[in-house]
Amino acid sequence: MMDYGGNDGSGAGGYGSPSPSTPGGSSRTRKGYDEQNLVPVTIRMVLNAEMPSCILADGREPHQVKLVAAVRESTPGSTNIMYTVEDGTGKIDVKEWVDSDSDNTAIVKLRERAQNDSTYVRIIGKITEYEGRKEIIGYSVRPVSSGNELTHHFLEVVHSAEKFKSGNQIVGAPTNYGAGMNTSGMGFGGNGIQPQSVTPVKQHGMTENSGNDIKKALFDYFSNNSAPSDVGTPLLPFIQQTSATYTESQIRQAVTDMSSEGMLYSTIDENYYNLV
Amino acid sequence: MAEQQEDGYYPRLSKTLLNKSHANMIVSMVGSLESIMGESLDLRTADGKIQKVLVEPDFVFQQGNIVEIVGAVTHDNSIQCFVTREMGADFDLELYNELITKIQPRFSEYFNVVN
Repeated sequence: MMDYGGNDGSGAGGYGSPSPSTPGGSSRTRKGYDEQNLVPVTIRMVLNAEMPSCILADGREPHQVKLVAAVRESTPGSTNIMYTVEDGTGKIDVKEWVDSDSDNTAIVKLRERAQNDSTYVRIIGKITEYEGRKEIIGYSVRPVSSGNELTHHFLEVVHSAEKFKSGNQIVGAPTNYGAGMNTSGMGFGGNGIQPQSVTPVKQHGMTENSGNDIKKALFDYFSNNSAPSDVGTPLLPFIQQTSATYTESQIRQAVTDMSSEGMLYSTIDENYYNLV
Repeated sequence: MAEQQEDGYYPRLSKTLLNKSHANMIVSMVGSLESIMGESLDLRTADGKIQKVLVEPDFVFQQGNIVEIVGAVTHDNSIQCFVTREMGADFDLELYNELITKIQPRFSEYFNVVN
């Protein structure tokens, strides 16, 4: 049952047409695949979540969560293993169902390592409540491949939560966080955080959507104003004509991109281009 | 801090971040094992500074190993170690330092108990 959704918490959901999973019309309907998201969280966030609807403090409704935490105790049962894990933000119990007959030796070995006290593990699972206490049903409990997974996970928690926040503030372009990063002013890359430490959000933030508009405009301009091939079409008139819409550096960046993509080539100098 | 510290909750610190407000609290420090003298261990924390840690006699010391130490802050600002966790030789201490000094304080709602 390893359904890790593609989204990481945007919950924007596509068609979302859930159908009841039981004929009796139970209140829990199966989410459409677009709504089955996986959200990286800390134990603190899990403990603060509202049940039974399973809503995090920032409003996200994770289908499944990812945790990185250290094993404090592990108690094997006949059909499951109960772990108690902690990550510095809190402590929680994790129940992993085990079918020892069908598991291969590699999985058995990993599980043995995971049960050592004071190993850090990566948990994929679902938040549930049992007798008023929160618990995680762990679909996957595996030792981390490196201590850096801990740092990475915490950074991912913050990144995914902040991206969700700024995504909510943008009207009309929820799927394009590139444009969102520019206009929302809450750009993740620009606030004293080393861009190298985090996934390269800054690159995505570089006008992905407006870049396509410029490129289309440039393509139209060069098509309509073609000149003898050894001279090329001058770029400067385009810059002047569109000075209200695009800056020169945006235009030159788009021209460079189109050249490296093989759509344009320069002729006399960097102010004259031809379409390929 | 007068309130009882919640189980499983401990601030992640470096020598620089450790201050008076952490007296008698359980804290976590990640660093590399620098040297040991009997039961007193020198841990080079994520900021490059040395933190004194008191360990059990059976502590396995390997120079350069990077570990997480969870323990109680004593009256003279050393840490009485309860748990040691291996973080691996390839652990990026510099990145971890960025995490605890810049990210965690700024986005504390994901990490800290809100009082």
